[in-house]
Amino acid sequence: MWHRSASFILDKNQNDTVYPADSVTLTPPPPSSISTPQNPNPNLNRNMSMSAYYQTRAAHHGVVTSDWLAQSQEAATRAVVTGGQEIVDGGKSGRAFSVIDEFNNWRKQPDLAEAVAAIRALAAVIRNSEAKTMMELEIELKKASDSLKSWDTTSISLTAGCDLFMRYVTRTSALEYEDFNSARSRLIERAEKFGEISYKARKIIAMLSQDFIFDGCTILVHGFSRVVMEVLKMAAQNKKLFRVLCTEGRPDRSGLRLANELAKLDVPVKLLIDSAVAYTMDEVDMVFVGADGVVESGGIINMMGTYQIALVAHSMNKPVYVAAESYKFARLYPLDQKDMGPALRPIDFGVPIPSKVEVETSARDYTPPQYLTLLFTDLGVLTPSVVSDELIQLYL
Amino acid sequence: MYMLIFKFVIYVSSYHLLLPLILAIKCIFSEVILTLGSSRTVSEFLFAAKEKKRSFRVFVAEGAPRYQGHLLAKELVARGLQTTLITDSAVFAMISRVNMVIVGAHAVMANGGVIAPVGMNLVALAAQKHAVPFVVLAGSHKLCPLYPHNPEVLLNELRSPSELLDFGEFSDCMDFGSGSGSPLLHVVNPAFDYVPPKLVSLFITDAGGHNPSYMYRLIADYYSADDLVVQRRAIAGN
Repeated sequence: MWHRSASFILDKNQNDTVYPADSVTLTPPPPSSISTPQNPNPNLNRNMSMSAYYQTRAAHHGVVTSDWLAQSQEAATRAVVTGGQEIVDGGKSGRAFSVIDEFNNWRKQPDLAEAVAAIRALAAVIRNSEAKTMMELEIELKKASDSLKSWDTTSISLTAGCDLFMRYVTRTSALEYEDFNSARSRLIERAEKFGEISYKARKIIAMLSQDFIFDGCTILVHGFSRVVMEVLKMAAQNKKLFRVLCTEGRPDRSGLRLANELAKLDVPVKLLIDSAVAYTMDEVDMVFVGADGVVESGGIINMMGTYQIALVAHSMNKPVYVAAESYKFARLYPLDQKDMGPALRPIDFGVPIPSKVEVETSARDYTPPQYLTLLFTDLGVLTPSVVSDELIQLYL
Repeated sequence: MYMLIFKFVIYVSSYHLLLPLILAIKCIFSEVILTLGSSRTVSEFLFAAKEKKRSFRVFVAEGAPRYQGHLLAKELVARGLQTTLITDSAVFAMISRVNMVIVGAHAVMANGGVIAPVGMNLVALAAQKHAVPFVVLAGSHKLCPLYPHNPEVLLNELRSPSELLDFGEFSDCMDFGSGSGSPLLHVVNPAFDYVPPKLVSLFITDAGGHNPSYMYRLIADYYSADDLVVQRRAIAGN
């Protein structure tokens, strides 16, 4: 995994005989398979180990109309069992009620964050459980939570969301009730409330960041983040005059979707290719990004390209603001870019690539805290050094 | 209720005595200290250090346009301290001879940034360039829970141009009444400057010495999160 020195020549000789497995793997692929050559053959593409998290994002963020989305949603929910099997290699539970199916149901909604979908799925587990004691319920929940986490090991917000919910469940206050049924209904009610947090969190974050968007400012945005979209939407509704520079966000091309949405709001938008960021950085007043996960050091894990933009912004003294909900806080501490579990997604270059050529397919990178200025969360405005404090409070 | 107000008034008027007691013991040995303008906290701090038999010299930047540095220089001399008075423009020239910069603050923001009398950003940048520690003395009543979203404007005031220009000399250029529409000469006289947290080495408060990144903790002691999330329901249309 550590291709830093000329040892890649040695590694390549070892790996020449190993080819990508045909089936979709759920556990992180073994180190040797990362360096294997990518075949642009479409059949192999579908079977390549692609992070399911980014599959969802691709499905959500493809440049499609909302009509098409509604239709496909309907079709998907009708065919959810077979659709689920195509993406997931084997269901995880043999019971009539499958938490994975429930999760997939919730996940299809484009506006719902993954962590919240997971929590709703876990709430459904509580509702459908036949346990008679708190311990039994906890054990069922733990099993369901583990199966959700293993369904996609690369998604940080999913893991963080499950962990937070489990922590809440095991806290004593929920267990103080004598009567099991009332305790259970309280847990369900709490899970539902947690679900509302997704919508509310975005509103709070948007409100907190309004002050930072002043009239006449230029904002650089990377790819498509629903939270950042909410921030910009609220600023437009408050009649602020600003313009947005939006990177394309290859290979997702999610920036095109953002440009679409902003054009509808009559906000002046300019699209850039990812390489044009440094070129335009001097006319930018601030950078706004979302986050897939916020880690203990105060850094963020986000779509590939965020680190690059943060570096350029930092060298030109431009503030980098991150908008992230509190359930994205994760107990991770990456020491460098390769420290996280790899999340791969295939890149379509449009022309066939010779099989000897490797492609870097990682979908996300880690931005260290010294390049970030402020984080807007539903817990308030935080500087990166405050994140670890807040994490402790959340997880204790 | 009155007792609380009374206690607070006593605290505000005497807090600057606490600061030096705790910290004048620090690090001042045959050193050269630079300060800008005049801050009561800084002068009390320096007097206390002098009493503890530390030997040091003080460079005072005059702090245009109010020239409060002149008053500070007089006070320091009255206490027997070797003082040098310089203009603000000379700070960069003299900073290489300075061991430490000690200044007061008007307000300390939640991210560790400082709102200080105008000219302070200049001193902070010079100090960073020459690797001189920039120490800010601030009592806890200076702590502000806001983040500086527009630092040049937030908590700043634009004062009268008469501090820069004499009345009568430039009145023609600045007159709205005479000649065509708007005057060509504008005079900007901001009272405060914003110093970003990365330029500050240390904050000395009555709760001890801290990093800029730690200030949010002190602020959290006095302000709750509920004070901060502004429920602008009318605009946001919640």
